[in-house]
Amino acid sequence: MKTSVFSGCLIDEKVNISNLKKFKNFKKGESIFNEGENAQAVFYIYDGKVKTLKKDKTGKEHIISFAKNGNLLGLHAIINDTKFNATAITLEDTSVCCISKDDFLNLIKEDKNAFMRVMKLLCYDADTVEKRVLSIKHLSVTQRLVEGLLLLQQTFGKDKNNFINISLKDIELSGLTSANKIVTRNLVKKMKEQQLIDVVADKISILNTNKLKGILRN
Amino acid sequence: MTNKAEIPNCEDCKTRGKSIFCDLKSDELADLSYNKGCSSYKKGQVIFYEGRRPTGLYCINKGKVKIAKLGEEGKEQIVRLAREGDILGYRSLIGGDAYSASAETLEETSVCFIPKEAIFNLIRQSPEFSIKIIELVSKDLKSAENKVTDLAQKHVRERVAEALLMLKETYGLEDDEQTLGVALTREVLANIVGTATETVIRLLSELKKDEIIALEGRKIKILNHKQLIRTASIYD
Repeated sequence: MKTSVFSGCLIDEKVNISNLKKFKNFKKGESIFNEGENAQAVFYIYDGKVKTLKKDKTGKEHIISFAKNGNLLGLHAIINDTKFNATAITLEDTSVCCISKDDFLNLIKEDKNAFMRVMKLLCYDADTVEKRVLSIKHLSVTQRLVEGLLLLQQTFGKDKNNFINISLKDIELSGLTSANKIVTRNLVKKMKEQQLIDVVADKISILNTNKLKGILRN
Repeated sequence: MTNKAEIPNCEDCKTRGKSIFCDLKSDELADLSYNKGCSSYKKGQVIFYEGRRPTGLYCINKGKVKIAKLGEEGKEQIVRLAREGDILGYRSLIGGDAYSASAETLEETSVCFIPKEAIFNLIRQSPEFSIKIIELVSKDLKSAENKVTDLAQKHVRERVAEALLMLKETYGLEDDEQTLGVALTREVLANIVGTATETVIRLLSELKKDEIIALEGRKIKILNHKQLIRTASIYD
């Protein structure tokens, strides 16, 4: 809870916040909300892992971001009073706290500390997504895959065997590179052959961070 | 050397209506004018550098600015272009982070600087201002999300057309109602699109051959707006 948007206000308003939220459990692969739905709540990830994505006209998935414990989803749709702009799908069993739109807007109106925390989160999110935009514009597919893997490791960390702490399917990897699945799969294979990464089932481990970062500079 | 700038009064500012300061009350504007500074920059000067810590907020009084990152390979990646009334560096200021990109003038520009405390005071005291600023960052986020899918589907030709439309949207047209209100080098255009300079040159002459645009040195005229929109595949 330390990194959460509510960490400050929980101390003063413990009771209030607990009353505001509703707890919900999602199984792996379920959607928390869908692009185009009316935004009625924000979702605080209590425990779990989530990807947010948008589909293009051909139906291909593009990853917008990855989220974990302590992240808030659906913020800007609530603030702009619009529909959800992306879809959020769980990558494993995930429990979230739902806070209704009105409760949330009241909270940030009345509590300036909460307001500032939400602002900071939004600024961070906007920077992260803008960085993805620049990658798609300026980097090659290989470089985007490298950047995606580094982002995944930074977001979810490593397990005791040094694997990135998340199961990755082709769809997530091609959503990160914005290239098609076959191209992406071949690149993963090539990186494994070059011993830059190791792949076991749907887990990936980064073996040579320096060499990977070198690819970004070429 | 920069020209000495007079500090413009926020209350009389003609670009304020387009900025996040549009809803401020007159005592808040007086405070803002009292606290801020203003500098003039020549073309090609840097207002702030990527990696430095922000100490306040920049607001463009007059002129044009590009916000760009240095890519890993040292190539410039243009994040966005800014015009009069736009604020610069607010996300790093609020997020408490170092600047994620640099700001450099595209022509002679005057920029007001509002110190950090004055901005944070405004956020605390003015509900109208805090709503404006949270809406601004929310819109930035939404437009970045949209670009992720939009870009991935587009070919370079479509992206060049889109960049020209973006330039028109940002800087408008000259009095002839055809010439873009900003003249950029082909290299800068390439860094906006994310392609090689040669490719931009080739695609611009293609668009010229199709009589969608006309070229006069760095100046670009939009001759067939509808066709340009169609080329950019912006239907919505």
